[in-house]
Amino acid sequence: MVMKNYYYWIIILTILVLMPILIGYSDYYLFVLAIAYVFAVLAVGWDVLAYCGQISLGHAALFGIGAYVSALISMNGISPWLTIFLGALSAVLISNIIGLTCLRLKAAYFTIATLAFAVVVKVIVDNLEITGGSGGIIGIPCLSTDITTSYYVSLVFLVVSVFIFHRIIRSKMGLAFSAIRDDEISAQALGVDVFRYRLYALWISAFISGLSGAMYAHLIYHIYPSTILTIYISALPLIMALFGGRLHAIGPAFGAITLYLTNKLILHPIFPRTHGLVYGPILVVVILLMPEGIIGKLASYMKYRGWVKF
Amino acid sequence: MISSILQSLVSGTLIGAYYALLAIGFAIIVAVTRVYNLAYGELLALGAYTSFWLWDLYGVDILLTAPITILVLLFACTSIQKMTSLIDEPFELNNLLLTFGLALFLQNLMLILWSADEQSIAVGYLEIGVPLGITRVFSSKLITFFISIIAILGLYLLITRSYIGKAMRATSQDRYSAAIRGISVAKMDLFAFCLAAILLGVAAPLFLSLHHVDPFVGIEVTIIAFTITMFAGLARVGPILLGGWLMGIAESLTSALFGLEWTEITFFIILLAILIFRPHGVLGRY
Repeated sequence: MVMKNYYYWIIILTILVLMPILIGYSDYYLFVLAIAYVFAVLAVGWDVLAYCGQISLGHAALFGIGAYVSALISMNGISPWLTIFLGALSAVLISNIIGLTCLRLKAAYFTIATLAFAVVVKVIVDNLEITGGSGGIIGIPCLSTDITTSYYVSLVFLVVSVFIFHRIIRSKMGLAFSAIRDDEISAQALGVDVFRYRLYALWISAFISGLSGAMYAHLIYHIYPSTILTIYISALPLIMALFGGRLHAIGPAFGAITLYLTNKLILHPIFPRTHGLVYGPILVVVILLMPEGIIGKLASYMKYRGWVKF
Repeated sequence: MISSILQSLVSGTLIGAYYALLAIGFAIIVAVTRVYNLAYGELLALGAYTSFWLWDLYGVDILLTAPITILVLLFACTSIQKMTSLIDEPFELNNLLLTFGLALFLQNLMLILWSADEQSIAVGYLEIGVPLGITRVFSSKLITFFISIIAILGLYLLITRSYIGKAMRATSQDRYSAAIRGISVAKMDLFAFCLAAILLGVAAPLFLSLHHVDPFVGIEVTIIAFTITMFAGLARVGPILLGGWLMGIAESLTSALFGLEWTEITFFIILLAILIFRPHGVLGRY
């Protein structure tokens, strides 16, 4: 059975578009799915940078900056449809701090430096007047009172970001990214401008992450430093992307949706207090047993059976 | 003003020795096994909780809980070492992710076992104000200082004067050559983790006497240890002690000059500054 590649994409997309009908317009499930898509967008954003070999533990900062900027501007009467993009752009702006300071570091140092960056951002937001301190912001205007519209908006953002990531992987830039990831020195010797391409990856990553943060703020209506600027939010996209498979365009989104839904719909009702415990062991198991992730395993199996041509 | 600065210099020096004790365990693991252990701070928090439990439930004296915390941490560290030895290439990055996963696991475990509340202890003999020149310090800080210095000295003697220490230094300089000369590199990895566990086991009850413990203190401890290691380079005890003192003084000066809420980010800003301006280490090559 040989199927062309894009058939899979069309089938998946049709299911996602028809999802509100399939689950009977249930508000709760639509909301959970919308949040899952927001985290999937964040995982895609994280993975753009990771595709270039830079493992970041500071994406909570970019996510949080997007959320805070969008929330603060929209509370002054500007439409959330516009402020979401302003939030994403300000995340790009702030990401230049990481770009100029940390991007030349070796891989392990970059990871720890971004961890420190996220904590600095959290302490600053915690202590500033304008961000409401540790009390956070409550009563953020929503995108749309209709939950189905919110669902479709997050779906559109997800599809667009996965598509962008897919195009990047297939482009010259994607080749440069994987060259840098595999061997930085060889890439440089072959004429790849390592710093410039890393900066591009960081900007794209920051834009997508900021977008997801802003979406999250307008879906949830209230944000606190202790919920959106923590190490937990930095860890989520990492675990989701690695679980799904970080070298495939659809991997991070698949991992995010699977893990979030499993955790929220199955584990949360059964173990209300201990459901957060699963993420750490998942990361350990993925690193030890299948570093290429679920989609990576699946893709190599399908290629082996001749079901798809890559 | 002068007296408050003097006060913070003294207490920074006392705390600094403790920070050096924390950093040495981290540095030994990095030097010998090349694992950047992001679960390091969580291990300390686990030890501190063990010690808190013994004190709270059974009334064991806080300084005498060290043997039990050492046992608990030896178990945890050897398990982590076994896991890291299973890792494929790229070794450094995968180990970072693995230990990060363990850190998340330990954080959540502690959150479930002991809740998010801050726990602290009240022991009479740790809260005496001791006059020291024109300043006064708590006896807990003095005790911490002396125990840290003794532990660091013991470790220094072990590394420089014994055969196993020599083998460990050889492994940290060049694994391949060390293996050729008949040193069991795998055993050295295990030994490095065990040494770190012992140091952490000594440090854990002291942590409780200085600071409250909650499940999220780990990350700050990891950053302190990493920053001092970056500052001092690997496998030399003297610069690490100096780095510890500088960090301690920087922290207490920040709290004296800018207020308590900004002390949290002192270490992070120092770390970022070191990484930006001297990414190969400040004293000697990293």
